[in-house]
Amino acid sequence: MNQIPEMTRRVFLNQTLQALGAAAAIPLAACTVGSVKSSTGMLVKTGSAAEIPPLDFLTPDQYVALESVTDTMIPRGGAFELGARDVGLAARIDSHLPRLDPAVAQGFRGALVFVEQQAPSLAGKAAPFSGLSEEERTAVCNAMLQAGGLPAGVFMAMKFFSLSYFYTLDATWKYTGYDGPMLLEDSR
Amino acid sequence: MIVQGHDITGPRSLRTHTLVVGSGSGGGVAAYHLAEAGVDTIVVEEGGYHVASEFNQREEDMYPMLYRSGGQQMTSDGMINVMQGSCYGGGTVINVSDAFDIPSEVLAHWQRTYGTSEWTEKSLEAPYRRVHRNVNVKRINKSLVNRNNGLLLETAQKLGWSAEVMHSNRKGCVGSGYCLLGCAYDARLGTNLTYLPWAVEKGADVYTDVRCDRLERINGSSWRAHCTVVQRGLRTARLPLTIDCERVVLAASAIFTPAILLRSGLGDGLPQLGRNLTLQPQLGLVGRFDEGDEIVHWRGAPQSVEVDEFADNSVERGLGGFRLEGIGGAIGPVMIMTPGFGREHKRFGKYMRNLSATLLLVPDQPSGAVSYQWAEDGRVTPKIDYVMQDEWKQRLKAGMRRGAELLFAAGAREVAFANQAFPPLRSPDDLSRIADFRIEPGLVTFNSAHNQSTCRMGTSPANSVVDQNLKVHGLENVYVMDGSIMPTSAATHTMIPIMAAADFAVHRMLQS
Ligand SMILES: Cc1cc2nc3c(=O)[nH]c(=O)nc-3n(C[C@H](O)[C@H](O)[C@H](O)COP(=O)(O)OP(=O)(O)OC[C@H]3O[C@@H](n4cnc5c(N)ncnc54)[C@H](O)[C@@H]3O)c2cc1C
Ligand code: SF4
Repeated sequence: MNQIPEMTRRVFLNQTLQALGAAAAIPLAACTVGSVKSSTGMLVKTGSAAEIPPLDFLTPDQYVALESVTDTMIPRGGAFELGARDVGLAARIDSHLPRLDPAVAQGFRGALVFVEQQAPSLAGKAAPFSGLSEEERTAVCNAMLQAGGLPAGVFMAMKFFSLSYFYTLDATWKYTGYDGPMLLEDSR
Repeated sequence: MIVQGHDITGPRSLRTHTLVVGSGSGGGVAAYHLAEAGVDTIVVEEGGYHVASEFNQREEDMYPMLYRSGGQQMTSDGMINVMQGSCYGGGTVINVSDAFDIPSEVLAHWQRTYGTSEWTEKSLEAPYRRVHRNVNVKRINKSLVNRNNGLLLETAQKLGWSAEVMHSNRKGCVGSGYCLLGCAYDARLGTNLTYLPWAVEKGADVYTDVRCDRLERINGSSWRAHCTVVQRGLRTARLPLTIDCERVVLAASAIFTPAILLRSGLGDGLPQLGRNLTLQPQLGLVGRFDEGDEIVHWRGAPQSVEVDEFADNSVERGLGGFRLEGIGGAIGPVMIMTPGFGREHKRFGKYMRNLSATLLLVPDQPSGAVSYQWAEDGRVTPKIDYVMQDEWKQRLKAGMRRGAELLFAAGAREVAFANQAFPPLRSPDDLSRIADFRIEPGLVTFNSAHNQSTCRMGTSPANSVVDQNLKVHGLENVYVMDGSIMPTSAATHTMIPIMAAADFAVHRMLQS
């Protein structure tokens, strides 16, 4: 875990944008089975490019990583059927990133790089995060939490973005019972 | 006149008598009383000018619009979310309106430890009277106490614990619950609806989207403020703007006021500048109740009840012990507080209407420091370093225990804390697990809404940054009137104390 964790850590600490930009561009040493190396050097699951929507902030490979993250945080099924993929959560997050403090947005990018490339090794996995099964991704997230420090911080950020943008989306409200804004005209 | 940054199309040089930097609790009050007294006044505010019709009660839109760093400003270890409003009206636009004065023990503590003999209950009487009247401080109407807060009150009473409905600065509140996202009803009387428009009526000019970068001394005791007109939103630099003035009142908050003094090269001889930071970190507790038991924490006044049974203020320490208060109004932050992820976690989503949200407020002693990095265009990034003291951690755990006891007594089926690696407590039998609660970056997230003390008041430059008139030691005509002047945490809720401090200092300034 060479430079990336340190740079990603800085993201969260709201520090330099340049360092984070650099973190997001660091190439990986090796390719793993079932993945390809994209133009930014990130490993992505093969075959996913066709499903990538037009993006505002993330690169396609970062988007693929984010989709796996959101799917792990909020999969289909469980207490209610709707999951992150059903509402296009990764695309929603991508569309909001350009409006955030650039240091936070860049930091999020760096954090995605960490999840995709570095975090799997915490659970003994060699493949990128987006190339893992749901069970394996869950194990990686648990390993990030158990590791504490930076990995836990990155996990926290991923959870924060996933949950905040999921539960504030109107399409989820019929499952949660949130009745949404009460604007002036509603109260009259 | 209110001038918004986007209306400024070229570099500008302005002149005034008194420049006020920041338009929140301190800056708003200072600006009004100066203008009222006929002093030519300009206010510069880095954030944007926004009005009720823009407050759409959506977290994803309002945090980026109204908060510093979109609400994502963190301490350098990533453990405390240091929340600040950053817009016309500052923190008074997004706070939850609870109104408290500085407790008498705290004033006595300051007098004894920091020599602030002129800050007494008597000398603050008139400032409080004016502030309370101006922002309509009244006990919260019972009809606005929602079930989330009501449960705390009822259960505390059952347990024989002291608890009460708080005071707030509202008028015409309909209980929408969205105070944290700006009030769409103009019912929360922040400086955006009171002191600032009144200052403008009296002739003050307010420039929004304008950041004050540094001060330069000119002509002996006058000042030139070097400012930048910033792009709303991302705050990139657009245009330079200078303001020549006789006097400066810094009210940019405890996180940002020291930055201006330091960047101006005025920190020499002020060893306490940027130090002694208090954050009053708060921990969130979420209770899950039975499916039929509707809490709906997001409606009604978000924070209306405090359980103060375990508050322990003293002349020796100032604020002490801990308090429990209801909180609500924003669903994102409450969902984040609940531990876990994946299918298992979705039960918290399904039972959203049955979740209660409580804050554990544990006052701290000065424990941090702020330092800065400046980008070439003047944009400042604070590095907020904060060390939690062992004594504070013990009080935190005692508070967690009492908080969980209270929620179980209220009927909660499980109680979770904002710690990702700490499984929820399922019954009072689990309370002993709190001893193992790990307070580590990445695992637990605290919130801070009350940054203070980085320019604390005192008797000499060795122990403080400003004197009892809130003038910076050794600098002619430079004052600080925001949360940074409090020697220690002034109160569990700091808006009214800061407003009263600014009122007190401006009236003294005008008398002299
Ligand atoms: C979420 C939340 C809830 C809260 N709830 C309560 C509550 O219920 N009751 C209570 O009493 N208190 C509450 N508070 C705290 C209270 O709002 C603040 O303590 C108070 O507003 C701080 O006042 P201030 O004058 O120090 O600074 P602020 O109100 O923070 O104002 C400072 C202003 O200065 C501007 N600024 C910064 N740097 C510059 C610069 N270089 N140039 C120009 N402008 C600049 C900022 O954009 C900001 O608008 C809450 C705070 C938060 C964040
Ligand atoms: S509860 Fe709603 S109406 Fe009342 S002050 Fe808060 S935002 Fe305004």
